[in-house]
Amino acid sequence: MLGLSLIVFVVVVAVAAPLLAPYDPNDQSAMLNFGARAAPSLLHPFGTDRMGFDVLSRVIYGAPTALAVGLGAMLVASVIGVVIGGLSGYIGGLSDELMMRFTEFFLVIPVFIVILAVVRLFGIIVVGTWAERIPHINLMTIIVLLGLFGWPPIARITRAEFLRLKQMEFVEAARCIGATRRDIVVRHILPNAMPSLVVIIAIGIGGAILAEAMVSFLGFGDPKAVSWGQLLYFNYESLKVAPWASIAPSMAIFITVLGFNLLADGLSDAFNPRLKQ
Amino acid sequence: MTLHGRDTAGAADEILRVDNLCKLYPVLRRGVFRSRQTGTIRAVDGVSFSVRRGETLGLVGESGCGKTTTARAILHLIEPTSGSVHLGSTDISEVFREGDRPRVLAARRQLQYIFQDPYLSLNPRWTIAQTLTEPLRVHGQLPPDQWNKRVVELLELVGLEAYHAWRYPHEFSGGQRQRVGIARALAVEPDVVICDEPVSSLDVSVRAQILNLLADLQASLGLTYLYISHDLSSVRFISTRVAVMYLGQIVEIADVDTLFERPRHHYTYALLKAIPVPDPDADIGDTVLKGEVPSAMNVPSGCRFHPRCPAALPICAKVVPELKQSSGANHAVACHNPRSDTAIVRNSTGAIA
Repeated sequence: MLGLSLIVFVVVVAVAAPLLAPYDPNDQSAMLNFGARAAPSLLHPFGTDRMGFDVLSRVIYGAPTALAVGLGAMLVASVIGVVIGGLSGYIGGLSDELMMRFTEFFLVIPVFIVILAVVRLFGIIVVGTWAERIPHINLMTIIVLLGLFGWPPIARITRAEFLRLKQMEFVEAARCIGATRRDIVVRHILPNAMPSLVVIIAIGIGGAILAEAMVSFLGFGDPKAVSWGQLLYFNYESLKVAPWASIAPSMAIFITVLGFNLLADGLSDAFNPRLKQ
Repeated sequence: MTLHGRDTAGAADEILRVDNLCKLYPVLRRGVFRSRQTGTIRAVDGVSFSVRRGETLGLVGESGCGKTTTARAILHLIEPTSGSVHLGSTDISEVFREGDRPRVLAARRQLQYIFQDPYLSLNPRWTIAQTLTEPLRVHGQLPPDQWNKRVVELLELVGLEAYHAWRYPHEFSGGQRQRVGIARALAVEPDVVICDEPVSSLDVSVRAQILNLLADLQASLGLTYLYISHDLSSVRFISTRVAVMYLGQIVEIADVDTLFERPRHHYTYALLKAIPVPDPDADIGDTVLKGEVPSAMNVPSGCRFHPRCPAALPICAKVVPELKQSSGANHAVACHNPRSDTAIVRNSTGAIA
């Protein structure tokens, strides 16, 4: 329940960002009177940062970015993971063997180096092309890359669940009735695999948010997006003089990732029909 | 006459005929680059029998003798290695192999399966209504607006109530779940139902109810059963004829009373002797067979029962006995040296003397 409350809180903040934020995220007017690195005050509850942005507003506008990264990356990862894991587990044999070796190949790739390299290269390539005009192209690249490298755990869980479930007697009963393979997978196996999948996906959302924060912290984030990792990147050098500018986004990351991890537990219970009233 | 236990008189109205069904599993030794076959498990090895319309053929044998594999191969839940299965005049093993969907569905509608474990055979995320609607949806024989009516009809047929439809399997007892399993099998109005140990995972107190239900349904719907069990008492209760399996083969097949009173195969006799008698003072005598059932990977030469058989002759180790008709028209036995065709003697407690 705590997980759900935290996530609801983050989602509400993300949706209502323009209403809640006291300033525009790109408003540097504080420079004119308060100055940069101003301590928290009534007008700037979380203070201002190195560049004179209002920290509270930036943190609030970071929420939609974080959710977009987490959900987007896991959407990509789940689709790939469930399809590959599902095929692997259901068909078995040589295709299973090949697909699992392929999955393991993705597991051993040092994801961050690849993401950093691709984001950098892609950022250079798009300059001057039509792709540059797509809003948040850099952020989308990060989302897609996190998805492309985040699916192996999902594929492995899906495969394990499919292997277990396809032997179950109720699946054989469906075959006896004459249900098609598609019916068996979509109506019998997948719903019964859901609890495990939902848990790993919810944990993966937290992981993706954390990963994006890391990429941004290293300075490879989307310069046009407001993200918590980027706030840390901009402000860690003034950690001793203006700790509020680093603490606020850190807490936001902490709350969101913790929320998704707790939610994962809660969801696995909610999916259990035995606990349905 | 080697008609695989099928008698000429009944050939006309036989509804299910299994011919020389085999299911062999290769035993592979996995190498780095390729796997080598090091042996073969002969789970079902040349099983032939036929079931007549309206009767119940009991298939008995101890665990691991291939009863369930036979059933699963008949239903093509596993692909048989060889042999054919005829349902009426259709070769359904061929229909399933070719996979032409309308014909497969037609075969599935005629032949249904009741599972052993009602705790595993119902989708835990589906309500009973969803479970019972599935066959209606797959076969499309009824328009969707009549599905609910049919579900209620099915529930009442198996002794459940309409309101049970909205519950989940975990809210039911084992007996009730098995009733749901029976209702699902009957949803498509099959002619033949294969019951794979339908009562062996139930409490003893519920077994009789389910067996009575099966018998009542057979009488009212004219069903034909292939009843698989290792529980001889339930087999005797429900069967018209009984086939005894040992190590993947049928060793004896006869009318139920003939088999239980005048068994000719020594293995059948040993099985009957092993039926527990509810009397602590009963003399169990030298009932226990010597040795273990040999591995299906390494079957004995000749008659598969000869290493354990009290009446084995030298020929038994060399020549495989064929299942052939013995004295009675409805009695076939695969033995070189069968027991004499006399009734077995029971003492006052019902134990075989």
